[in-house]
Amino acid sequence: MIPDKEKPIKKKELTDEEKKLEKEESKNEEKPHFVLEVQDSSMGSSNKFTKE
Amino acid sequence: MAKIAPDAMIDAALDYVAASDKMGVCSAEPTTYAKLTTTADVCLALQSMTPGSGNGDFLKADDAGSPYGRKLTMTAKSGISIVSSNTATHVGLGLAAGTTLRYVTTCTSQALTSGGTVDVPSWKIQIGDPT
Repeated sequence: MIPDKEKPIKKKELTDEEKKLEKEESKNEEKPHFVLEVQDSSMGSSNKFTKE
Repeated sequence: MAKIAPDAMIDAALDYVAASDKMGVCSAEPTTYAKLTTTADVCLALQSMTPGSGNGDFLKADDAGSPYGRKLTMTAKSGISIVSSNTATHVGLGLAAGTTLRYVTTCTSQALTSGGTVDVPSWKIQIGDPT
């Protein structure tokens, strides 16, 4: 009798749906992803105009 | 004597920006709507926006921070497809009908690669009360 830990592990067969998901996931992993840092704007806060 | 700019006056300017239906990520300052949205020009990624404050992508509100006034917040957009490779430096808003450029701001320089995606976080425009 073979001890449990020496028994070959049978790989689970993937269903078509799982294969499709796996393919999509690997495709997404290849796509580079970036995050921008956008600067806020502020207007009308400076006393640009002075009386002459 | 106090100086007053009614909210409606400031909101008119913010509404002009909130009427935009396109947001472009650009590699240089877009000076026209065509530049903002044309990938053969400076546009690297283009996102459709729902125009109008309170419709999902734009929101006007009082600005609680000094110098007070009113602010327009643009909702964060994620996973925008990058259609051209270059370094992003500007983000702009425009309206397709009439092809008008409505607002341009800057962003931290970020190299983008065609075929990838980019997230634009929430950002705002603030117009202060007169001082």
